[in-house]
Amino acid sequence: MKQDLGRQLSIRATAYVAGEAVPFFWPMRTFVKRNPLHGLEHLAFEEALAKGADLFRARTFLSRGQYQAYLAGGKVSAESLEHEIAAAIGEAAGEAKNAATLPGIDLGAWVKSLLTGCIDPLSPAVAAKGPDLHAALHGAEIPAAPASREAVEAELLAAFPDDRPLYEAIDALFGTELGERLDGQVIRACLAFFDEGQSVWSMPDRSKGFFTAWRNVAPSGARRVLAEVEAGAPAGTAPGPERVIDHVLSAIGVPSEARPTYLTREMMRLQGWSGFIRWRAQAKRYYWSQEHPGDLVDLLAVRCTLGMALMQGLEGCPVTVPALRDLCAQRPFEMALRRDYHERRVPAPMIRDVQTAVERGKASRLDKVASRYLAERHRAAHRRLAGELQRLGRKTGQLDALMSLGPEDLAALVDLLSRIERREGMIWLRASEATALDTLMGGLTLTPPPPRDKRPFVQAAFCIDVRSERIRRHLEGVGDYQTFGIAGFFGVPASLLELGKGSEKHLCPVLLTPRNLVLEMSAADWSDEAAVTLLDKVMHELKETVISPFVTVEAIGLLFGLDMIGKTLAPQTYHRLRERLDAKKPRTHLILDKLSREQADSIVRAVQRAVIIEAAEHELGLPTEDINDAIVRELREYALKNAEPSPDLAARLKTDEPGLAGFVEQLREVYRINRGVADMQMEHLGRVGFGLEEQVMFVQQALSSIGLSENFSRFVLLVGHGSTSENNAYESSLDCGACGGNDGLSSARILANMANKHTVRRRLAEKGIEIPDDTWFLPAMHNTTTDEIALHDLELLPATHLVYLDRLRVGLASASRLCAQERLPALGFRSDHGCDPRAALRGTQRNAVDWSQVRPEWGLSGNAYFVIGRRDLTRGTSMDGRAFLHSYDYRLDPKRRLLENILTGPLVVGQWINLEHYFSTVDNDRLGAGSKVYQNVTGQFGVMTGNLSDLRTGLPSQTVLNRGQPYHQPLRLTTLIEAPFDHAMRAINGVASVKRLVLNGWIRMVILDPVTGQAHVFDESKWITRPSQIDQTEDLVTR
Amino acid sequence: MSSDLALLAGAALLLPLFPFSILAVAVFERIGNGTLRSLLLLVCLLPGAAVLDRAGFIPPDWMLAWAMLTAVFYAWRAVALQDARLWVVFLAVSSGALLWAGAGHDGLLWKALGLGLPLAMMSVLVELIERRFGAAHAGMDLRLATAAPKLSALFVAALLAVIAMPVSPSFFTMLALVVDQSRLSAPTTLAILGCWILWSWSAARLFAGIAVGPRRERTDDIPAGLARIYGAGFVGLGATGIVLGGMLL
Repeated sequence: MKQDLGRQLSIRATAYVAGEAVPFFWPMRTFVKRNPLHGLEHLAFEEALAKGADLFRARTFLSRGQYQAYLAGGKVSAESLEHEIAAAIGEAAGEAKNAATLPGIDLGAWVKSLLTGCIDPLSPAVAAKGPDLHAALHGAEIPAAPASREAVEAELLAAFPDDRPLYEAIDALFGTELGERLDGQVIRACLAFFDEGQSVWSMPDRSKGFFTAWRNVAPSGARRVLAEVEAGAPAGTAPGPERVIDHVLSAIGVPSEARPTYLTREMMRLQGWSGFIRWRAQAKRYYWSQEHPGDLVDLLAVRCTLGMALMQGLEGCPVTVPALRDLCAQRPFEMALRRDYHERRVPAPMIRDVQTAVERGKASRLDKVASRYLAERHRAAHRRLAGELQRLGRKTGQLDALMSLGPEDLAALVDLLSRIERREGMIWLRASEATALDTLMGGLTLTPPPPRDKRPFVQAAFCIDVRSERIRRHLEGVGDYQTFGIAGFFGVPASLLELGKGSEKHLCPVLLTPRNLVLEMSAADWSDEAAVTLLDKVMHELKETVISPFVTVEAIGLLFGLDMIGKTLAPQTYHRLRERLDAKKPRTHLILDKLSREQADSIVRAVQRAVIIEAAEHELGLPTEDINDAIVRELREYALKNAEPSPDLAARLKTDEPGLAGFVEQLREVYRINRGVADMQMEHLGRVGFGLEEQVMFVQQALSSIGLSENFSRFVLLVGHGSTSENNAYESSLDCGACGGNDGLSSARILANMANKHTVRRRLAEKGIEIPDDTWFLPAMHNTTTDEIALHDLELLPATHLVYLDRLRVGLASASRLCAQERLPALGFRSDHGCDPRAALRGTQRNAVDWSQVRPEWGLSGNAYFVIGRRDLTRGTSMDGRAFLHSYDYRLDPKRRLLENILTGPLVVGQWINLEHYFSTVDNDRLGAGSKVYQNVTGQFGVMTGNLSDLRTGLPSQTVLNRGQPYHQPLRLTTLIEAPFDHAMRAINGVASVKRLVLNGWIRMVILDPVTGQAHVFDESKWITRPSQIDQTEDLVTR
Repeated sequence: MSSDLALLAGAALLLPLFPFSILAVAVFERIGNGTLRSLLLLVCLLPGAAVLDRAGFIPPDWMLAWAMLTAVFYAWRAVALQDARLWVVFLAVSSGALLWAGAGHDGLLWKALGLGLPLAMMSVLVELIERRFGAAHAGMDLRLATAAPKLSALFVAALLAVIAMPVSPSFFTMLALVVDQSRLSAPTTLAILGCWILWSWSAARLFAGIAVGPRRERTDDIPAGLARIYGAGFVGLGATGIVLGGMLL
């Protein structure tokens, strides 16, 4: 028993460790951009990419052709490329066994020619042999040496290690497609179990857990496997998922040391589903996880069972790891031939012969064809290599030198070139980043601005989102506006219970868990829904049943037709019309202050009263006028078991004693008027609001972090951002990542409310931040799809400020139009829209309401930089919407706490966003989400491509690619901190997670010392001082 | 009688039925010249059809069954084929066998032309692929759709024409065969329809193996001018189909 428990725990621990490499996948309702290789961040960047490429079976760099296009387009400078090539040659020569100088060969020129002038890689598919290459180069016949049995066997064992799923080896050798079939079965099981209300029919017994529920509906092959496991289990117990995994892995013969990687690879085949299940298992408060629990161990048990069932149905194939090894040892040539055939690597001249041999399956014929094939493969590879070398020789003008090399030198040359080619991705990436850094540094200025004679008209704090850079620049250009950058949640982690909603949403980065709850309430009576909104809901519900769509089409299909025509042919006009008909959300207030115990108790009582009245109406059929306060009070006390009912209560309720008892029982059980729930409600209400000191702390932190502690304007805008789009499953990805994938308006309102309170300002003044009485914090919302900025909570604005509103609105509108004009051409709109700002704005507005638009905006594509410093540093330059700009003044942060907060939160979120874009660009099919056109919403939490696929993670192609080519330039995030070197270094060292990211090369870190004017770049594990490129006419003057 | 037998024998060789079709397939496989192969495919069905037409021969039930079995057999075998060159030949044999169902009805020559034209076009496209990539084989990692998009588009158009999609001439031919037989023999009608479905299935598999796959760099695509010429050819094929449809139906 103990041994059994020990084994189960061991399996569970192994699965847990194996799952570390699987990135989380959050439900798409609040899209979270994350680094898909987050589980590998403990490794150096280059190493992690190599491992990630293996685990995800994905590319981690762009193709050579795409980098060549960057070189031609100036995104990679020739100098930086040459510099990286020289460094790579030095490293490769140091690693190579035979690193002797090759006479007459300028390796730098060769590598540059290879990378910039050739499309296909040079590295041969087989190990190059000097004498054979020499013969091919000189046109001589390559000797027909038989392939080495040991070499072929070693090649096979390297291709099929013990930690690779066995069915993948079987598929590669026998073309069986087991992997695809297994994935399909597992996906169906996941769809049935994890559905969150999209399906009308779901898997039964889901409350018992994934594996248990699936076991009851498992197909017959899987049931046989489960019966085998059960036979070995203690009597009377159904085998748990751990036992199933252990049984299958033991039966297949996977060695213990290979199991963690084996299980990782299993999960990585469906990394979307695995990531979702992994996230779900640790999200303890997630409703669906509580109702229908399931974790990675369950998933692996289902996978292992189905996999074994599929393999058991095979004939003539090895079904254990030792059997596979034996097969490769006994028949290596045949297996090599089969592998090349099924992996579609057989060249054209031999394809028909190989196909016939493989399909007929006669061992003697296979061996004969295999020997011929391997020899021909060897010869073809050397001929091709010789041809490529000659071509390179001609390009570099060193053909004669090449032809005069002996066999050993030729082998050394190919070895060096192959080593460099293996590092090609990093060469191009580093060259791209160096060019991008030059661009950044060339646009910065340390020259302080002229001193102000008066305060700015408006100060506006925007989210650090890259899309804010453009609007900030234009706003500063149209008037006396001073802008700042701050994380979109304004440093206030809160949960919001919106008006009319039943669940909270977290308005903070997913790394944080908010402790405080804010309630949104309205004075308006919002109980009557507009007819159109109601009709909309009914239509949607009708579509979810099985039979009604057939009838509905006949009956009211025309209505849908009108809708379709309207929003297709005239989306803007139709949208305006629908807006008039739909119910408008009333003006709301936010409850921000902590409730006293009496207030909370009063709220609970009020809710209970309302519920009791509804219950009496519904259950007893009593009209409201018959239910007075006294009756309600008495019923409440009775339900809470605080008092016994009066003798005439039943009569007053027009029922008898049993009826009264039954009704009160209903109140307790169904309507939850009971002590337990009341206590829970009190506890929840205890979360509502922020205490005074908390509010003071948040306001102080927000203002200090952006360097705004004096000289406040009349208006201080807090501008959250969100997006607008139609028919877009990725709508949330365009909203604010710092607000957990929601828009930032509520966060702006929360901080504005706090900062406008006299009590808060009084306390702030004691701490040295004096906000004038005429300063008003105004929340606003930047719509990143249309670039419009809408002001909110204007009813709270003091009357004295109303006269300035018009000027403010005009400025904001001008900035919006200019920003739209700048952005629109990149969205492929006609140039006449792009010339006229008003027309451009109309274009973006149409974009936002067009349901056929797969790209309402480019979002955060193009992000490359994260600048932490004063706005004056970047003010003079256009950063083309590519920079996260976080305001920071080191002089207000002597203890570096603010900088550490920025590094811990916003920078890490920025890094996730950057790497999500990176990997979605380099391999959109494996690491991105593919095209939106083929996607279907799944379970209400994700999308699949087609009707059955892995959950699509990452970003869709329309977000990062343009006509199949990268729009987003995949670069690591270049982070620049404007602070004295020592100050910034200590802050980085003080945040362990960021320090690791920097040391491992996940972030490119630059420290710009405003005192010395020098820039220090962290590269290859050391700090390098760059020659100054920065405009600095005088040293920074202290205030 | 002997002249009838001689005619019949001639037709059996020219529109070969299994197992005589094995020889025809072997001969076609050995023709290395792509142009010659295409021309032969264009005309190979015509002589046999002419002989049957001239003889006014109405095949007996057993012979019709033999022809339909041959047609279905080659259509079914084509589903598993990965070599586009061999696939065209198999479909030619299947088409030839189906023509026996048109014997004794009007317009047999036009039907033969209707089936032969798309096969010839397909053979030309296969030749173009073979010249660029060495073989048109689903066992290779061609990914034609991204490697050579224009060539891929023409390849697909040819595939659709061969499997009798409207408005290809073969569509009207097949329709005419079905209409002719539907009044006479349900099993023959079903066999014709069965072939049609099997051709489509095999074409989809071939297309998936040759054209579909993860994006790859563009290689040696056909020039735009040549693509336009072939495109015009397909438009002509469609027009021919419409005219043929008017004649046959």
